[in-house]
Amino acid sequence: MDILRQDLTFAVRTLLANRLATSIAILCIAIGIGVNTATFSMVDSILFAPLPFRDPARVVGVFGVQPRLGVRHGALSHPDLADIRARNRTLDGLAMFAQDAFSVADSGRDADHIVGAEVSANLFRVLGVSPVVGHDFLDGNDLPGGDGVVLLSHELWSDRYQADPGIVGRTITVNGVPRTVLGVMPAGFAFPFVQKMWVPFGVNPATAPRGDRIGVGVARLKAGVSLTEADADVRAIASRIAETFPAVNAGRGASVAPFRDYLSDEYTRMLAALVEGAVAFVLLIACANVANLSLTRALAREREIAVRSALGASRLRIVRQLLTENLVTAVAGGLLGLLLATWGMEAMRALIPVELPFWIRLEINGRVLAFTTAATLLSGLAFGLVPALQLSSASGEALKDGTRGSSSGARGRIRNGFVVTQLGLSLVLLIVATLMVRGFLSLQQRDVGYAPAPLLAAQLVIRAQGRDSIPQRLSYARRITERLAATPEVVSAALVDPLPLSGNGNSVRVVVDGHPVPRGDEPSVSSLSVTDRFFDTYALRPLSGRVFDPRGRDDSLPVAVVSERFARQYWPPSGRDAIGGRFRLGLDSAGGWLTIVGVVPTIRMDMVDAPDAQVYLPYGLAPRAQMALVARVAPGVDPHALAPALRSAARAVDPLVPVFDVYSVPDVISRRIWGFRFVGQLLGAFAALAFVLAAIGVYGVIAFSVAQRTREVGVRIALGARPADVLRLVMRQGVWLVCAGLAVGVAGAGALSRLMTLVLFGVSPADAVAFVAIPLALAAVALFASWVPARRATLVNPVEALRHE
Amino acid sequence: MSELIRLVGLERAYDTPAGRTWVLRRITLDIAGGDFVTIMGPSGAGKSTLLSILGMLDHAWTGEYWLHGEAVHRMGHKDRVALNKKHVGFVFQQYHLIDDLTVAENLDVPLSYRDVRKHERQAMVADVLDRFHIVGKKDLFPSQLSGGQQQLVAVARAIIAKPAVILADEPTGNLHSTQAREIMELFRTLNRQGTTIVQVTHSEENAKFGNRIIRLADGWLEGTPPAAARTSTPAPTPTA
Repeated sequence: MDILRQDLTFAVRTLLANRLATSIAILCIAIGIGVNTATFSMVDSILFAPLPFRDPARVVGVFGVQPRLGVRHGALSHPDLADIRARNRTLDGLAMFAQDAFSVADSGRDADHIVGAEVSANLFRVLGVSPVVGHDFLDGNDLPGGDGVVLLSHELWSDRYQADPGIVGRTITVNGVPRTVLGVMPAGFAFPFVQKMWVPFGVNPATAPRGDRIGVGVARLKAGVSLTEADADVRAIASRIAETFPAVNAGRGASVAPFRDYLSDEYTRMLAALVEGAVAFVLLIACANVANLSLTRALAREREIAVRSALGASRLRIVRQLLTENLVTAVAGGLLGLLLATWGMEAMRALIPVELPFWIRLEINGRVLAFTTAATLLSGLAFGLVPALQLSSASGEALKDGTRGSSSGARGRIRNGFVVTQLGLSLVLLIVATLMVRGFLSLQQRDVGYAPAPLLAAQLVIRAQGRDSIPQRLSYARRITERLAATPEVVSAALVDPLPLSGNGNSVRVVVDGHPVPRGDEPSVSSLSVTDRFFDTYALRPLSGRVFDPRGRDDSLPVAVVSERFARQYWPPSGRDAIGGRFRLGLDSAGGWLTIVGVVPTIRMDMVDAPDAQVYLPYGLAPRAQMALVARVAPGVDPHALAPALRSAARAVDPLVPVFDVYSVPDVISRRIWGFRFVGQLLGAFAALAFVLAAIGVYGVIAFSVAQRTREVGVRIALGARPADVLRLVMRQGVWLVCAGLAVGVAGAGALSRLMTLVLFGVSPADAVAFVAIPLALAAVALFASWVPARRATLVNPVEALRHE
Repeated sequence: MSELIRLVGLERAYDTPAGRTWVLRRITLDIAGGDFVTIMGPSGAGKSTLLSILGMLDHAWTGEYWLHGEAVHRMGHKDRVALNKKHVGFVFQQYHLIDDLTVAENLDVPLSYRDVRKHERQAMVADVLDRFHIVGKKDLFPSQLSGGQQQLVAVARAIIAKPAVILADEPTGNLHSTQAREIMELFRTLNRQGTTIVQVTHSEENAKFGNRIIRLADGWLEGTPPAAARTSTPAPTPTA
């Protein structure tokens, strides 16, 4: 204990004596730890942290699968789920939920749009989460007649109901139906993502159609049962169900998988791993800098260590002393890093334009602290061990005058190795960041088939409280679009669902008259329900035929407008002959034939997914409850400025129809691809840090080398070296380091590029900018960083240099 | 013998917080080609500074310096470096071999700065290795040599580019007596072959190898001017 205190005291004194070097080391570690901590809090939630349920390791998802189509986390129907629940021997309490959105109205207030979920009554019991106010759903609440109840999130209770202590038993109107509040869930709980309200299904599994696959299962493994066993059990049950009901279940099954697979898809997890890898690189680069700094200081301390050895200190004792100094530096860096991390988290929050799922926590909690502590101690060891071992081998030679330590050559090689590694890692990071940013830019610049700039969009749920009927929806659609179109700044207005580029889709199978295909091979198209002015609003002129009649005459007729891509596929080569052709949506014949009356240019439904074909149905034929209201503004008008007019038009037409997500279409696109932008921004920031750290590293090594070679430079000048000779001598080392670093970096990035294809859009993994321009830029900066000390070397005064020896 | 070096009224001073400190005062001196001159004097007398000025490593002096009839005092830095390369070889007390280079590579360094072609350099290095009987050591690094061997290599390096004058600063200061005598014998041989030697030493033994001794004290050449004048005479301000 006494020795430890001695080591600590001496460590602190030594570090204070070298304030500049210590400050640089602490700052480097703080940057590394800071970005790692900030990022880890998010990545941990996505990849590793236990989900916020009771005994979360046993909570699993039960999903519908379609092996032929590659669907692995699909929905199940009530009857399928009921059968699995009844027959399985491996699961405890199988529950079900479906994400939904509700229109909530209370006396004296406009309707609010609340994101929620329909759930089975046992859901929260399966998850092991109980209401903090009131009580959970009871068995039978999810059957017809027992479902007039609702559970609220803590946030909704606090915000909308001012945390009313008498909320339990209060009646609120949800989608026009009065429901009694049973309770309030714990603060921060928003299962499965950002949901704020839960209502029971109100469905009898015995009578529900088996083909209506509306929800995902969540269950708890029985004690002693593995995931594999449960999966085999459920798969066997599903295959028996498919045999029993081949008409609706052929080719379908069910599986048990970790519930995390549902919450974050493979792509998100891959991006999270990529970001975590990137920050680990930053920490490694920072550690390499600090290790180099330690090695540099080692030279100055060689004599001190040799004296300690001569006085009887064992190598272990010396290593421990030196490691203590490094650990003290690391701990100081770690503490500062925690502070930087809190700022980093705030910066990250500012970059995220959407509400994060409740299980993602941007906070410094116990796990994050444990991570930071481990990272700090490991980095202390990482940057401290090599210099400590090197220095501890300082021999008695160091005590003789005019001799260099015997280990200086090896130390030089280690230092060079650190810098090459740093440059290599930085370049990998820079290339990966460049690829991501360029991918994002190319996503952003994708041609969508029309000009999005003058469009303003808002979501409406036309499920007017208590009076939801098809004629009412049609009437509402006509009134809202006419009213908005009457606004002077608006050129045209229409309803559409799904809103193109919002990330929502409605992909359906299509059967074209005269083009029989085997069952299951039917192609998919995006089916859009639109009001008649949609094509004017989006400026889509018919390529042949016509668009829907502006007086609503097509409203209930079995007609459709199709995109050029669809028309060309079945009526090649131009698709013009598609007019009069017929197709049917869905796989059962109940839908009836639709006749094509027009062909319009193909548009992009999603910025990310591959482009597909579209079919447009008149709103009267597909009167969906949730529609997007889109207005085209007059030239010179900022669509954002129209938002208040849109809201007031909606309020005037029907205050009980909730209006939400009011954004310009460019904003809609931006929100759709925020994740790519966010990852690009993060990686860009990390790469910039790595770039700076690597430049500091190169500078440090060359500057140290120059300082160490002052005598040599003096001798060379005495022997006739010109400034250019000295510059060449020093720069040669820099050039060698930079070339080696670039080779390592390009090779590393090249090896990663195959993996990168999985997360890149619209940019080649062998992109010239990333693989040529970026290495050249890094080389230029690194060479400049070595030129500065090299230039100083040319100014060495040989008399001084030789005298100081 | 023709005149190789001529100094007229050469002075050198350092500005320190305590004021101006004179290191060399009014040095007027001629050294003929083929001389073996020994500069002696107590520590701080200005011996090494004089040697640095002769070797054109120090430029902050005033007065006249003629080398081979060329006016060094009128030359710019670049020309001085060129003149150094042409006529001067150095031997230092601490040998100052470059640690990371082998013996042969150390010998190559002065030639590489004189733009000698590679194959000529190789021949010259081989010749010098042979002349100094160090062929067997050509691939060794300085740390693998004894002090005497290192100084031998340093002398070999000093003469490899065939300088007119070798400036040696305490060349045997770190050597024991036998090694010191060998090095001095080597200097005498070189001198007899026509190389002018200017050495700084404290050793009367070494001084006997030369043909002329110059003594310095407090920056003045011994005997000039009278001691009374040393404190009263104003001196010109040195310029860099």
